[in-house]
Amino acid sequence: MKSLIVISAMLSVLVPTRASSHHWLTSHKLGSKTKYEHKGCNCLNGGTCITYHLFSRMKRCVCPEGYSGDHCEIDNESRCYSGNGEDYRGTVSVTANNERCLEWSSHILRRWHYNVDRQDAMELGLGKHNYCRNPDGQSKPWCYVWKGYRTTETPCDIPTCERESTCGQRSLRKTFKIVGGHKAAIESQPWIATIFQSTRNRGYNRFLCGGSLIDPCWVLTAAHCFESRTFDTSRLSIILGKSALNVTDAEEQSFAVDRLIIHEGYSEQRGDYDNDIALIRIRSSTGQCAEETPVVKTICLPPRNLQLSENFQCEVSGYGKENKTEIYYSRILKSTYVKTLSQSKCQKYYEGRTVNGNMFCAADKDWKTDSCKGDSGGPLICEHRNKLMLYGIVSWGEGCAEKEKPGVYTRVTEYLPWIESHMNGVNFKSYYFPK
Amino acid sequence: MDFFLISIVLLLTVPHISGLQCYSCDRDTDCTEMEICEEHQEQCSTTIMTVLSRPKISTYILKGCDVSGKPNNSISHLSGNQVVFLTEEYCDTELCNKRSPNVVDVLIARGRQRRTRECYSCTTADKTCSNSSLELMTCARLEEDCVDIISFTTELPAGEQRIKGCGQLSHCQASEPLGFHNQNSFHLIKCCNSSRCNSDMQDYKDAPLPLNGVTCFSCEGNSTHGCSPDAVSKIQCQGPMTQCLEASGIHGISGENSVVKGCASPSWCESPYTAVHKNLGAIHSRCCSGNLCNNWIINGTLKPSPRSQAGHTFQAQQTLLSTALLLSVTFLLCSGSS
Repeated sequence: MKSLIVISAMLSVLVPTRASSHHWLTSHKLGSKTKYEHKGCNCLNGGTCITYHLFSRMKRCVCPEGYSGDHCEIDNESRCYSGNGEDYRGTVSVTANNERCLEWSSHILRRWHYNVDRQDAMELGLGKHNYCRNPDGQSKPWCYVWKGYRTTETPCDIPTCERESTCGQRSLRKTFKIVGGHKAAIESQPWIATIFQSTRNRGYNRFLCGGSLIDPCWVLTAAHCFESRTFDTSRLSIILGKSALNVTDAEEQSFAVDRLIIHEGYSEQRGDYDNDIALIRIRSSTGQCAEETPVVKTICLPPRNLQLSENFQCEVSGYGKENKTEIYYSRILKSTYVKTLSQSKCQKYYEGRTVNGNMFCAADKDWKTDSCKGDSGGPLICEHRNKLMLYGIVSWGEGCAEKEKPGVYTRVTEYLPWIESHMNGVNFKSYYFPK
Repeated sequence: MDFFLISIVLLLTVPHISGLQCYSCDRDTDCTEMEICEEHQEQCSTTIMTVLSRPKISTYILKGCDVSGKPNNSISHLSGNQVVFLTEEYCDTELCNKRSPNVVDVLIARGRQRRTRECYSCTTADKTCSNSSLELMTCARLEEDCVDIISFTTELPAGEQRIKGCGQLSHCQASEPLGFHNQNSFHLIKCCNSSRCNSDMQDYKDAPLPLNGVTCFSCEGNSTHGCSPDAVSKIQCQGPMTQCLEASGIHGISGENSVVKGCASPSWCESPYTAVHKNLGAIHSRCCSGNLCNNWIINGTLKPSPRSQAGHTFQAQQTLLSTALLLSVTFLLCSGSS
């Protein structure tokens, strides 16, 4: 009888156990291996995903040069932070007092608020590293430091990216004319960029357009330089600090095109040159942006609501043709002064064509000098509050220096939000997964 | 006597309580979680990826239950200035995937070994698999071959996915590549055992292997979707894939019965790679020679000797059986003692 009690007791224990274990099994149908298979790679900043089919489909991001981390979220080349540094994804890992940061994955930080175990660690930039971050909206990036048996939040010493006003400064002030003009030393236009396109069959590089360096990584130019949106950017090269097209200067810097952004509102079919603006992110063969030298400097962007009065003297420069019938480009960098025209006057000169608020006109008082074919994309700069600003981009015009046919320029002040959003978009947005 | 009876009861019930248990984790280095495997998962696995970019070593670990029959494999390849090591190990006893092979061991071995092979390395993800950008790497271990792993599917917009490097792959012989293809996918695994032997640059997507005259049935999916009788198509076999293959098993993710048909090389037929590539557990696979001979699996079951793959029915039957046995023992005991 004793045995019966034991057995029934066992039965009562065993049967529920069986049932519950079965329940557990079905409710946890997806094991870790199967869960993992549903995950994508989530590679940021242009990383590509590699799937190892023979190894449980383990995945890995292959990062482009300059980026690292499991999702290519770390920017190895970032040297500064913007705003409060929430977006900082660089690799500084020491504090202002030169103390070594703790890894965000360190076991010391298990109980602290910010560590790699957080659900949103990836979005906050926390990972298996000890780089300074600002996950909580403090004034600048910081990290945890282990000091005297205590863990403390310590700010890091990283420079801010606030553009120190080195833009729009030139070492020489020699300026000459373009059409019917003299040559200009490159030092007087150190922000001018030359855009070349390699021809399909021969290794010959054809000069395409001018441009302006507005940031060490970015060149602003005209959209009409690129025939179509599917333009092959691998055939483009950008050279800064070039005094003549057919001469290789010792101090010139050359770059490939990392990204070409043509304004969404530009239409080649329409042919009205509205929104004739494009941004190029440049990258050298070693992955760097431009380096400031006497012949390579940035030009300032104008303040948002700058509206220059009529007859304001500005300067336009380029390597374009001396007159429109000339076969060859002038090859030598030239500059000339032109004066702004009122919108209504310009519209009168170009009756039947669109001259809208995205454009403005400028011309020589005597119609003697002007920008011309080949100067396209190049800078029209004006002095405002003792600083040189990129006010216009060479866009279009009828003939060159023809009477009552002024040059028409893209009005840069109308595109400041567009420029900013695209520059930031590439610099920072890619650190976050789409929500 | 009592003790004896209890032991019988225990013997009858215990095997049904728990399936195999494995350590389970995803990218977590100290892996302490466990999972109870499903019926078709008869192995514990450990997959480790170690990325070496001096001076940093990053390790990613994946552990869990897996379908049976998958082999131990390892490869290594270059990726920019990094070296990537991948190993996968299987075992089939309780919580046997505790250990994590350490890449440092491999690296120490790398320092000692002298006559290891030199192999070409590239990946299509890096865009390095073109003649001009092939790089050479020295293998870490003497046993490693030069490998060339090619796979692509028709669904992926990405072209051929390829990895070249060093490796030790189960069933992979220099004499004949392991190959399988059907209308959905193409897989080729090539190994060779002399330095720089993995120099083949053929793009198998753009320049397919010549047809070998064999035609096989081709399908992939379950009996209602993908491999239903009207979804089965015919495919002309390429290169060394001279056999017709058909296999059914339980899919590792969905847990559903799944079928695959296509052309395979004789070596593939004897290898576990159908299970690996199609993620099939409890697999029944057969190869045959002759046009359209892979016609035994119809409606998801093998025609001549249908075998039920419905695991849950089987399990329920066992549970019923053991309960009945228990009850009868109890009844016997009761009647015996009164």
